[in-house]
Order: sequence, then C-alpha cells, then structure tokens
Amino acid sequence: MVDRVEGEAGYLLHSRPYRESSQLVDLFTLNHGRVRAVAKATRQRSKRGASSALLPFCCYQLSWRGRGELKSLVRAEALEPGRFLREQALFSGLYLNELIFRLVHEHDPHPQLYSCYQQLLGQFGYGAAAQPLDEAQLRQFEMVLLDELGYGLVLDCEGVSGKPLLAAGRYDYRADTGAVPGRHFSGEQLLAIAAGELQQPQVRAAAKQLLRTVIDFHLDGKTLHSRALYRHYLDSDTAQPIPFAQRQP
Amino acid sequence: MYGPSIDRLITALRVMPGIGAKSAQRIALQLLERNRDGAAELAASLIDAVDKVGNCSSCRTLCEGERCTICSDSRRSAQQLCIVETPADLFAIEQAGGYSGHYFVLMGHLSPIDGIGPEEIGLPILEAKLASGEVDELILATNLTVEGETTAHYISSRARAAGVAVSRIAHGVPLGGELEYIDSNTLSLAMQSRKVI
Ligand SMILES: [Zn+2]
Repeated sequence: MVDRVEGEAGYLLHSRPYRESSQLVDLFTLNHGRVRAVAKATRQRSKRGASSALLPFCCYQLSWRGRGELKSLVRAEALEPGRFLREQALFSGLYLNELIFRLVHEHDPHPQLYSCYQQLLGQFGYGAAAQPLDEAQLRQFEMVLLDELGYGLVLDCEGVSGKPLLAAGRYDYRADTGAVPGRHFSGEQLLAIAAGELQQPQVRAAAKQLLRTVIDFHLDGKTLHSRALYRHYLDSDTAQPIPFAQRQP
Repeated sequence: MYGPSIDRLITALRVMPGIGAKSAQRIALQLLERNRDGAAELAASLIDAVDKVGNCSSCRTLCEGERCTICSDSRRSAQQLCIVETPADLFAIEQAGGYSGHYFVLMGHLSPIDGIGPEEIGLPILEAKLASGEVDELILATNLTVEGETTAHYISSRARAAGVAVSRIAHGVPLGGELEYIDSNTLSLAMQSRKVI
C-alpha cells in the first residue's frame, strides 16, 4: 500500500541527520499520529543561505509519500511564524515532545492529544515574551496523553473493589490496578485531581507524583531524558535571561 | 564479489561521510589499479592519526598530545571561554579571527530524545572549570538549532549558578543580506530577538 498524504497538519517532534544532507524527522500529525519520514536535502543551504530545515513547536502543512514505516516528506509549509522557545519554555516544550515521542505509537491518530498539544504551544507566545507552561498545564497534558492512550487515571472508585473513593480515605495508586486503600494520597487529593482542580500546591504535588508513577509504568523501562534535564535546569539559578553578546571582540 | 580483501576495503571505505557502495567500489578499484603508493600512504596516515590524535585534556578538541595548541598558547586568555559543539565550529571561529580566549568543545549537543545528556557532552568537566574560578566570561556559540539552543540555555543556567557571566553569540540577518531574500524563519527570529540600539 502506497501512502500519499497531502496537506496534513502536524508538528516536528525531533529531527536527526540522515545520510549526507537529509534529516530523519519524527512528526506528530492530526490524523496520522506519529509519523517518521525522511526530509531530503533539508541540511543544505540554498545559494542565498536560506535553510529549509523544519523547526519544532511550529505548525506545518505536511505532505508525504511512501510504503512501509519510513515515509518521504515531499512538502512542508509553515502555517505560523517560527516559535523560538527560550529558557524554561524551551525545556517544557522538549518535555512534551519527548512524552509524545516515547509513548505514542506510530500511525495511531490522537486528535484530542493533538489539540491539547497545539493549545499549549499556542500559550507559549513568541520571542522574549514567551511564557513557560505552569505545572497545572503540564499535568493536564499528561492526563490527556494517558486518557488518549487508554491508560487514563481512574479516580472515582477503587481499582479492585470498585467502591467509591471517599474524601476522608487514604489511598495508594497502582498504575495497573488504580486506587487501593493505603496511605500515600488522601481521597480528597485524588478527587481534586480527577476534577482537574490543581490550584492547591499539595494537590499539584500529589498529581505530579501520581502521574509520574503511571507514566513511568507505561514507559516500560525507557527513560524520559528531558525530565531530568528540566529538573537540573530549574535547580540552577534561572532568575535572569541570557543577554545577547554585547562585548566587542 | 572481488575476493575478501577487496570486499573488505570497499566496506571499510564506506565509513567516510558521503561515500556509498558505488563510490566505495570506484575508490577501491582506482587505488588498487592506479595508485598503490597513495593507498599505502592513506593507510599509514590513518593508522598514525588514530594512534596519535586524542582529545585535549582542557578543551576536549581533537589534538596530538596532552593539550592543544590553543590551550597551551600563553598569549591567549583563559578567562574567556567559548563553547562550541564541534572542532569544525572551533576552526570556523579561529578562521574568522578576532577571538583570543579559550574554547570548550562539547563534541555534540544536548538531545533528550536521542538520550544525550550533560555527561555525554562533557559538562561535568566544564562545571569543574567554572567552579575553579579561572573563567570570567562564557560565550555560547552552539548552533542555532533546538538542540543547540537547549544546550546554550542549560549551560547558561549552570554558569550563572557558578557566578560566571554568560553571553550568547548574536544571530539574525547575515552580513550584506537583503531582507526580501532571507528565509522567513531567520527573519522571524531576528524580529523576536531584536535589541535596542
Ligand atoms: Zn585545548
């Protein structure tokens, strides 16, 4: 079966050099999910120095051809100006991309996840005014991702007994069975997470821990490198932006 | 097809960038038919280089011996440290001239999806350098790709934590560039990172 896809909306998740002048690109598209393709000659520069390399975090209209897993990208037209993320915004963007890259299977469409991703990227804004995603937004993305993959959190009842979750109860959460009586989380926290009410710091911390456990379970031993990088970055002093070079040589 | 030695040579030649099966075969036959002296010299120089070329203990660039010529040049200032991704980038800046500090060569860039983290690009060595107090200013000359930017922002946060001043080389419109011919990404970045004059 030869695929011929025209004008599909999508984003670049990651690219790496391929052969002399091409790139191997991993795309996240609206109707075809994650797609891997070869983008020919994108590492060459035209005579005027223009680069045709795709940028991540920017929406494109993509066309590709090919049979089998590896497609050939034949056209990519940017649908918006390039988004050059900096500092925290950049690290949170990399985190979203790596989550999709590691967890979404190739050629499985996830339009809900796509629209959540698009919406979050839209909130970054442009240039120096770009804002990082806050914790609640990152948790929201993780929950949509798990829902879409069929691994959604079950937070209204206990996993094994099916008993309704009580605000006054104490629970543990297991990725494969759900909430069980325990001591890690309060029922109140779990119900707040289920309702998407992440305003309270304790609820946010619980959601972070809970989602991390579940995501790690589904990563099946794979490492999320951007998570460690993001944490190291935040541990350093991040108070001031990088000044552009002003010193004369 | 030609016998084990020629087949082995053809396979070996394909390690070179841009050399596919066809070119490898052409090169192998050409060397054996017409230039055996050249082939012997190529083989000897490869063995010699692989044996003698290592990484500079101070800046990690390719060099023969313990320290490279830049790091051992007493006229150059160790207080300024320019961070580049590859020895080729170092070479490009040296060719352009005007810089008289030291370098640190990452031999790559951070790329979470490829599993390349701070250790893989020698950042513990860089952090030890920063902590030693010998560096006053760090100049980030990583590539203008998302990986290069990630690397720059990451190193910059570590440098600030160590109290070292950091700058990033400017990027935007090329010298002599006419705006109407510049690709839209470059122009849009130039707009987004504009500065007061
Ligand atoms: Zn050196």
